[in-house]
Amino acid sequence: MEALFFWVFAIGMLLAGASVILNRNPVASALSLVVTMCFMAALFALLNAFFLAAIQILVYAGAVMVLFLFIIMLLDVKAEAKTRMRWISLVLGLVLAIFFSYELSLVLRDGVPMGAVPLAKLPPPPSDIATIGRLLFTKYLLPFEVVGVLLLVATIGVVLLSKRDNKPEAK
Amino acid sequence: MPWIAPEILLTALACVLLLVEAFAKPCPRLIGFVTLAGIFAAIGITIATPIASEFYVAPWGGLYCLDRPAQFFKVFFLVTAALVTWISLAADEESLPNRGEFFVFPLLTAAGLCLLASTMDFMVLFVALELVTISFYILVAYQRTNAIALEAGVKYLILGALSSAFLVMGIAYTFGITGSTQFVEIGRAIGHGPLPLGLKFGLLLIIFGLGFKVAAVPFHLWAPDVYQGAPTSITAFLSVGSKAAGFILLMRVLYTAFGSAAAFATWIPMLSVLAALSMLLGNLAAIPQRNLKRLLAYSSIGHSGFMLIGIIAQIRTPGLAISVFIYLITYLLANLAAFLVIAVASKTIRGEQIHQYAGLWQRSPVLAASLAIALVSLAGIPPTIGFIGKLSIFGAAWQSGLYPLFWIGVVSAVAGLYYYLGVVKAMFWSEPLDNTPIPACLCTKALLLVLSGLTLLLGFWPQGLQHLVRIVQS
Repeated sequence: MEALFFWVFAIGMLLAGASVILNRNPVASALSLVVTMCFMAALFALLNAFFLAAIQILVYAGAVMVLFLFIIMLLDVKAEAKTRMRWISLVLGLVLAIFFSYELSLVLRDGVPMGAVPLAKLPPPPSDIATIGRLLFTKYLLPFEVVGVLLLVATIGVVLLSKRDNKPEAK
Repeated sequence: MPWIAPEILLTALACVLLLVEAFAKPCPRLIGFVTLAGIFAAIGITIATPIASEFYVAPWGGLYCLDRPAQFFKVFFLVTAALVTWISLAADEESLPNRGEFFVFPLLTAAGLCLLASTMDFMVLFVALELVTISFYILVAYQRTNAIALEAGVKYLILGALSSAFLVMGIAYTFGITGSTQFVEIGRAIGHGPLPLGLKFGLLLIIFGLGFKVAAVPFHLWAPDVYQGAPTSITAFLSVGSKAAGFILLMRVLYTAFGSAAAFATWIPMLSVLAALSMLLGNLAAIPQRNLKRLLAYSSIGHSGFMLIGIIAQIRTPGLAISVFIYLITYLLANLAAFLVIAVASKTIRGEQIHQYAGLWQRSPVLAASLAIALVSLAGIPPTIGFIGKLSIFGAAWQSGLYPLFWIGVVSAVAGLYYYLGVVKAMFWSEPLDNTPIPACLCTKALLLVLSGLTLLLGFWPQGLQHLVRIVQS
């Protein structure tokens, strides 16, 4: 049963992913990306990572993609739809894609990770939200706080770069 | 937590200044001076903080360390940030929009750089690196009404995001195989055995990502356009701060996490190719350049190549990484002096083409002499400090038997003489386009004298430099 679900989700994700890059209409591409994210969330759920699945839907499919769509709709969609795919980007993209899939297949064939514990010996997974929260606020407090500063920088930067500069500098 | 006090101070000061700038609307120059004072305070704190030998700061075991190299790089980044703020103040273009924030952003960049100097974990590394990179995206595109600046910003954003993606992929592979993001733990997991294939790919991708930061060939494509389009003070920050950050990260990752014999066999050939290509391409491609900032961009690519030799030499003969520290000091002094002159001069001559610098000697002797000393130092001619830097790098290459890299380095350095001295020749022995003198304020002249004086003094008296670096090594 689980295998059946895996194949449905995985193939669905691949199809949706292909449709992201093959669609010439940016809105259709963005919507395909939402579908890809949803399938990925389903795969996380199959792995018992329910929190990750929920976050995937909430943050990526919900917040990030809606923002994407907003911005795309502000741009000129029709002009973008008319541009042809350039062969150079097609070739480079294909080379990168083949390189990474070949690499991944080699690595997966190479064997188990170092110091990996067999699945059967793993303790039952703790309630993952509590674990993540505890880690974030104890051991990984430093990077967590830095992410806050990072978001602040990005926010101010966006305002600075997009604000209309109509007031003369106050002397 | 006294260890991360400089980072906290810089971030807090930046937040306060942003609020003050939003509500009180003070004169932008005042913000610049407060920024400068804050950076000096951070330098003081960093030097005063005692080094606990090989420790990991308490609550976050293994994420953050404060050893001698970390302290050296923190001071290095803060001095760079202070000089960059000074260049911004000296250039102080009226045309720049939102000048107040322009002084505040380098504080946040400096905080990220200081954090990078101490990171011992890939998570902190990535987050701090993004903090630095994202603030650079904004600073590079700051003159957004200017087409060249906009192109620079877009190019830096897209290529920067791509390199970050490579870096994350590499980190993911490394974590997937070793089960840890901490450098020390990764080193322990690798042990003395052979490197699994996944780790080799991870290492390759991490070197891609960091190669972008130090602008090593073939990851240098962004550098010339971005250096040309960014405001001059930001170009200086990128060429010194961002590059040095790449080197401390390379040292931490390669020496601590990938420090086994099997790992050396993987990354030494990669880094050697990067070093050779960077030295050759950087120095040869600089020859036809007619724009001074573009020329310095290619020269900085070449300097990355020289410093990569020092990183490799450390493995063959331990202790030779000292040459990278020496080279970075020489590079900081010369490069920041050069950019300070460009920033001041372009206020009057409105451009950075080399032919516009013709006869600079008649128009402003101080600027011309400082720029000449800086360029001669970058070229590595005695008796400047740049010669000491080149000497220590080539000495390291010879001592550890890296003969092919040694000879490629020598050939590139000789090729480099041509374009550096071409600029000097234009400044001293060409007729000026017009004879109006170029004004420079007294403080800027004094600072230029200090920088040039240090360049010459330490060139005559290299023991001082060696003494300083030996303290770092101990």
